[in-house]
Amino acid sequence: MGGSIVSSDGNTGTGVFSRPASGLIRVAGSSDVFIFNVGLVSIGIAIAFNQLYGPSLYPGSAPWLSTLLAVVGMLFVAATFYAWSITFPRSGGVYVSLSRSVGPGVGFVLSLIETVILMYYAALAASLIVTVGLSSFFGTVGFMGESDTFISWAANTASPAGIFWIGTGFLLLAGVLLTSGTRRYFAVQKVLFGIALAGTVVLVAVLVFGDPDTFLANFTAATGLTGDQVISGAQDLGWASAPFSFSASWAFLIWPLLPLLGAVQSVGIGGEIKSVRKTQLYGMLGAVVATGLVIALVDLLATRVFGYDFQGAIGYNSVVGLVDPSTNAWAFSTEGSIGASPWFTVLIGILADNLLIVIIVMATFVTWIWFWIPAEIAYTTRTMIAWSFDRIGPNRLGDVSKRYGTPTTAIWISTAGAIVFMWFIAFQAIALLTLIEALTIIWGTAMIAAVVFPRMRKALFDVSPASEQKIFGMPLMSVTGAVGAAFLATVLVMLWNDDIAAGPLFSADGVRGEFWLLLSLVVLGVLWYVGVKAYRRRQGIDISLAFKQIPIE
Amino acid sequence: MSGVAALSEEAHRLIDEAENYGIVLRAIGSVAVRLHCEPSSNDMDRRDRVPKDIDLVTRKRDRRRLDDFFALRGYETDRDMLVAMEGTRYLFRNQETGIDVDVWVDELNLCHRLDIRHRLGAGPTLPIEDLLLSKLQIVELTDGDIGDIGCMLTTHQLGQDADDPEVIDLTYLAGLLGSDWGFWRTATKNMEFLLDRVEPGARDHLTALLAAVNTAPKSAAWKVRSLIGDRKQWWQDVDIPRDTY
Repeated sequence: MGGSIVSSDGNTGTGVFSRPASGLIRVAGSSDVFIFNVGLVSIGIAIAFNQLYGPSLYPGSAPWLSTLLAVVGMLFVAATFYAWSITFPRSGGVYVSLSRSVGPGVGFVLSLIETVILMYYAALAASLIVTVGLSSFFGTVGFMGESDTFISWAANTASPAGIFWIGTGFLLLAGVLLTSGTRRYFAVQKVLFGIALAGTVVLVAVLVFGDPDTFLANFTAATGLTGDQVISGAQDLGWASAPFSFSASWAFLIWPLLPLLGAVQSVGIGGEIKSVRKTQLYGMLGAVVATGLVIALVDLLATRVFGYDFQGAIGYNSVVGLVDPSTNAWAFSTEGSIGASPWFTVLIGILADNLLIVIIVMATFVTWIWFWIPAEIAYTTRTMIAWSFDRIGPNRLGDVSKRYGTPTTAIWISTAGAIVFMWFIAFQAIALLTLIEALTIIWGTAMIAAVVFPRMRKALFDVSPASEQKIFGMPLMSVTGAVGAAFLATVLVMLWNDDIAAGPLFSADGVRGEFWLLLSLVVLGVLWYVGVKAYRRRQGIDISLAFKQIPIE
Repeated sequence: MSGVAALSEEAHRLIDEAENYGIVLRAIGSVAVRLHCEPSSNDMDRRDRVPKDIDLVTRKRDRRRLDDFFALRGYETDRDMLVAMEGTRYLFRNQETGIDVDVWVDELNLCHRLDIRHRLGAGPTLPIEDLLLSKLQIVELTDGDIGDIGCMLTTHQLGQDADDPEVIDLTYLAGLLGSDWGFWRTATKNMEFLLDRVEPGARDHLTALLAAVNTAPKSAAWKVRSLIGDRKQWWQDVDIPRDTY
């Protein structure tokens, strides 16, 4: 059947075209991909982390600057993934590029680890919906309506059981949405994006028109504390204010980087994207820049209204109270009075002192954070299907439900994996950014592979659109890959040496549980790959053939 | 037997056997044009206008049994297409004969969308109006498409009779194009382009068809979209088929 595709000879010169085969309408357009990546950045998570952890744990840091520094580094990472995406326009994430450049074994093992890590981050997002979104909402409404019931709900939802069950509910919802089809998923995300965008405009307006005096007066009315009491309470616990410091801002970069990593994840759905060269360019690089600017802007506005020292002090009191309740630190934070941690959402609710605005802001944050969940599951689902199609994974991973027409096996394995992590997050302590260390190694490998790909796999590179992009006579993907690899290596060192954010996976003091998880995955991945290769060989199938094909575009 | 004749025969066999299997399949594309335009079939065979595959449509409720139906007849399901299109389109391949069968579910989704849910009546093909629309929705026509359109216009009369399979129902065509500006734009652009490229008999029908479509009432959505006009792309880009995974 006809579409507007043309064969290489294209237009015959008479207004008549030639066509090689029935065309195909792919699912994801420019706006879908942009929303996918912006959603995976999750402006809500970035703002929440920036404002709670920046001034409190990295005194002197300017989260807006940290965000922009992270944006600069991520632009090189995004440009390299863009090059991979147009070289291999397939779904399956880093597995596709690594398996076809470095080798299928390496590609499989690293993508297995990546898949498990992303399942964890889907669960993390679900937990943040509960804490940053719902708990903050109940706490803020509770104080505004002087309702002990809402305040107790704030504490209950943020309890381990509350986080697990409500978070699991959001994960299941994401599984159901993806089961209903990618077109529906993109349609729902588009509507939610509109809501999140409108809510963000309201949020910015509240900050622009809000003033510090009103905020402090409202804060005192809500908690019984003055701003000075919060600050002196934190100082007694060991917090000290600090002037602007570039080095502190640089050190804090790893926090806004966590959400910004999401901006390149449309590489995972590359095969489903229309006009992949144009769409991925705007989708990846556009998402990094756009979200970075919004996050930085909100930090500047928040600091003007809430005050740098106040944010630092109340955040510090909250964190210390969490780590060591015997310090009574929560008496100088919002937990002691309204039950919720002093996330940005709580502070903005206190500033607005208006139920409607509180609802809008909370809904906005819940929506921003929500984007992470189905998108991460969609990514891991695609990786599993790619394994299956390359015959590295079981055939069943690529099975499609006759009822829904969607790959339900892969979707629900991903969802189930995220629920397992939900349990660990709720009931066991896992350092937030530790697994990012492994992710930097995996993505860093993709960066290094991009450096050598034009030489090592010249035949593949020469037929790729990426070969058209050069800088000073060198392949652009090699240059961006080198800078991207250096950036991710730097981030790895920073995470390794930062006990607040992550810390070392292993040291003379001991080995962390996350290390054993990662090591187990490496062993499992290697054994699986070697076993499958032998098994397929006995079936008369050479799985390496799948990795020798020339890309079409 | 020429390529197109062999494909037509296979399409007919599949459609008949599907009926007995409890599945509704109807032909579209060039094979359908040959089946519907019997008087021109010899001409098509002589030109050896070889379609590349068989194009069929079905209902959503029948898709659950498609795999089994085609498997029993020696066809393998293309898993990549299956996952990528999520039940909206299937590709079956017969390794022995080399025949590919594309099956669309509920709608033809290419440069424009053509809803066929209520058009799966009697006969081996979709009604002639839908066959014509399936060609007129193409933004970049090939020689084969032009031949197919000319063939349909030469062998069918224009009229208002929705029940006569040999009459192209102008009311249906004009109504559908009057509700979708983008589809109207592509279809009328193609008709104007074809005026100098088809035989005189077909040209007269094309002129009448163009007049009917242009003078028919238009929906509010059509009018709103027409205000933007060609400044915004009005069709969907159709990609070259390649593996999704």
